[in-house]
Amino acid sequence: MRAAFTWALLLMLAACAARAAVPASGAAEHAAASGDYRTAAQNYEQVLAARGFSAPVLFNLGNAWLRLGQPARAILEYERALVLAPGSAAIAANLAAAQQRAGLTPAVVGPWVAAVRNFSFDTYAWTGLASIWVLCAGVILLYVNGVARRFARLLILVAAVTLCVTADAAALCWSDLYRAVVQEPTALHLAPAASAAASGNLREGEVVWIQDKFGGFELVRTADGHSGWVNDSAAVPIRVSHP
Amino acid sequence: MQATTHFRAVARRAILIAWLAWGAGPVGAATRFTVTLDPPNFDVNDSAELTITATGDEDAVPIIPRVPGLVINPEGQSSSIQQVNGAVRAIFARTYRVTASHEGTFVIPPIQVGSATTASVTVHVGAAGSGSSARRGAGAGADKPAVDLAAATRAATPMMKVVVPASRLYVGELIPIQIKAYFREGVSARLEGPLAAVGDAFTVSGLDKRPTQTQETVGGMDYTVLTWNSVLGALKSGAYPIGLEMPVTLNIQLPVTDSDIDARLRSLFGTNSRGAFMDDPAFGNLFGRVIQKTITLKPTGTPVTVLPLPVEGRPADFAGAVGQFQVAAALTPAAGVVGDPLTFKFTVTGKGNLARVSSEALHDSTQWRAYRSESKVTADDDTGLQGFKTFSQPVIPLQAGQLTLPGVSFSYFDPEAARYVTRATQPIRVTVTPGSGAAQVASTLQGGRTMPGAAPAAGADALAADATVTREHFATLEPVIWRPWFAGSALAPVLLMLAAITLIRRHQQRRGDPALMLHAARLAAIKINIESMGAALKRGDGPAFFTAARHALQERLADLWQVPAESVDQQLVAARVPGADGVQLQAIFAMAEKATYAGESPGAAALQEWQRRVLSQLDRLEAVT
Repeated sequence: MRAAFTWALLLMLAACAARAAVPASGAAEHAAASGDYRTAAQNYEQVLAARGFSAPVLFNLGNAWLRLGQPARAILEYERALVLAPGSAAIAANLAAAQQRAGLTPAVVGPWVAAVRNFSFDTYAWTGLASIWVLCAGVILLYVNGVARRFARLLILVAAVTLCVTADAAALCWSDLYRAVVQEPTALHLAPAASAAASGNLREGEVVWIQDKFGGFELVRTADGHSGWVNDSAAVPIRVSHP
Repeated sequence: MQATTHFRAVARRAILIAWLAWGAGPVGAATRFTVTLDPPNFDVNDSAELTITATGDEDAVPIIPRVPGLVINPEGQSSSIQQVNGAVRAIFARTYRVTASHEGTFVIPPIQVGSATTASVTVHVGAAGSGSSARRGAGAGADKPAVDLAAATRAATPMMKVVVPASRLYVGELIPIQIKAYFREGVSARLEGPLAAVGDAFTVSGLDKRPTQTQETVGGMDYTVLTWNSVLGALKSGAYPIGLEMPVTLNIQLPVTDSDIDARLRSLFGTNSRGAFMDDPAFGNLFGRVIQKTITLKPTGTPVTVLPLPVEGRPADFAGAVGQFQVAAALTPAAGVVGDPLTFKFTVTGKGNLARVSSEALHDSTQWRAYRSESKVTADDDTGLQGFKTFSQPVIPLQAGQLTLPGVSFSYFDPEAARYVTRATQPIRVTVTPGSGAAQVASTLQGGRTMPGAAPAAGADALAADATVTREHFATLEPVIWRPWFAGSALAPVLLMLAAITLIRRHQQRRGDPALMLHAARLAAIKINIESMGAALKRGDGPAFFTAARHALQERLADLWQVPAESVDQQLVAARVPGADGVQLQAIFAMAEKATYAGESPGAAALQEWQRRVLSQLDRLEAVT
């Protein structure tokens, strides 16, 4: 009993020490406020690596990269921040500024896609999951006699409509799961080989869609419909599990 | 030129046909083929005539073999009738012109004519001017003076001149030139390839365009002149001729002498006497010789001197532009908004090597963000010597207010003034209004608020201010649907729903079954009767006790045997339940009858014993059920 308590105490202390080794967001904010964007960016990246993604941290990191004159990295961080905080006017505005500085024209999307992007794909996934639960509960209630039967029909109707809407929305932004940001100007190749003929060029900060992978190369499609193979280090995916 | 030659050939052929028609008569003798070369030895600049004669009644086209180093071109054919002692023979003669590309001894192998072959012929070709030509008189056996073929070739050879407006150039300078090729009137010539520049001292552009054709008289001679208007560019310093080449094939008509005509007449008609009409010079030209010769035409003229660009006074931004230029700059639109791109256009107009015109353009500053410029050359004429080059550069104002776009300079070398010139545009003032987008957007991030006092205040760099992280909520960007448990979460309610529906339906089915309902009623009746037994036992009411016991057993056995409870009696038990249990049950039924009908009532202790037996039997029957 005593030994177990000692081990638990040691583990807690180690966890606290590890957390203390990671600079807090405050340090990064202080560095950014004093104009030291390089230090701010490093601190924000350490925070992300240690604790995971956070919309404010990603936003601030994007600002730091943009102020350091690296719009491609800023675009990547802004896009990631928009995944966690879709519809944020501040992120969208800074993303547009970063695209301007990279010499890129923001992609024009239709009204439906624009409306759908007010929420994240995960929001639609969670809503759809909840709809399935409610729908199942409603179906069960249908088999129960009494007042519950009348209530079940309304529940099923609401859940079914919600499920359809979320499924449509998820389908509209399904391709967003495979978006990536080009980090350096690179050539599109006709085949997954460095010696293959070039079919076009990708610009720094350009958003592409990853369609396939093969031997260190990725088949990407650009917003204007061109496809080609690039080295997998050239385009960094937006949706990743870890920083 | 070719039309004239063609007309002469047709006329010559028509006269010979008429001659043949006049002398036509019976033919019929064995055909004999002979081949002669006249002269057998000649210079490289000279030629010989190869004649294949068929004497007899057979005529066939000879198959001329290919001899490396020799060019054997058909020149003409003739036919005649010969009458000797009343015998008439036809004579067919085909002539070919033989020229050589180099000196040496050549062997023309046997020539196949129809089914026969001729003897081989050996040709000796001497160097130019070696005087190796030795004409053999056709049938006369006497030598005669050779035609000055070299002189005829020289006279027919076209000439090329390059008209250069200046004798001295600077490296990189472009000047317009005219390239003229002079072809003698009456000389048939064919261009075998385009005019091409050779050498590495100059570039000549515009050679791919069609030349203009004019007529000129030079030194009393008429020429057809092809003119190319081109641009000459000097690549390196020094004195170099302008390297140009153009392959041309000439058909040179050699002058005809009386001996030539006589010899030809003898070979054709066996006589050299000409009628009056043959004294016409035009008739003599019919027997003239045509030489086909391919030459490479090169320009004549003195070398052009190319001067190096002076090192002294060379501006730092000089990039090789040579000529005379003017510069201009403009910004469109004239006013802007912070963050919105404007286009800066820098135009260099003038005459010179516009392709070498370059500009450093604008650079990033605290007020402006400048992007890479793109250039485009627009030529005013076909030569590309004159025109303008436009540099388009996107720029983005980073601040609001009255901003100044700095001027842009451009340096070039003026070859006429022989000095470097630097021209610059005036700075452009532009009014920039604050942006309506990013700078005025409040931070709406989750858990964030606009950071007071943060270094980059909104609008300073057209960015929304940093957010303060007040409630840290960290997550992963991996889509939730890619996690295995999410699929389980979506599948679980469906499975639960199916399970619940199954249970409910089963319950409902069982609830409506008459057998199940009867079974439940009998269980309830057993329970009630057991309770009645207990109550009767407490009261000491023997008849009531046994009545309840009998009912309980009847319900249990009726449920077991699926018969009406009233039909279960001692006889049925005796029939269906063998052994000790049957005896026990019969005893209980017998005692119940006694108590019910005879009023027999045992004591309290005995009732308790009966109760134990009844309950024991009920339990055993329940187990059987």
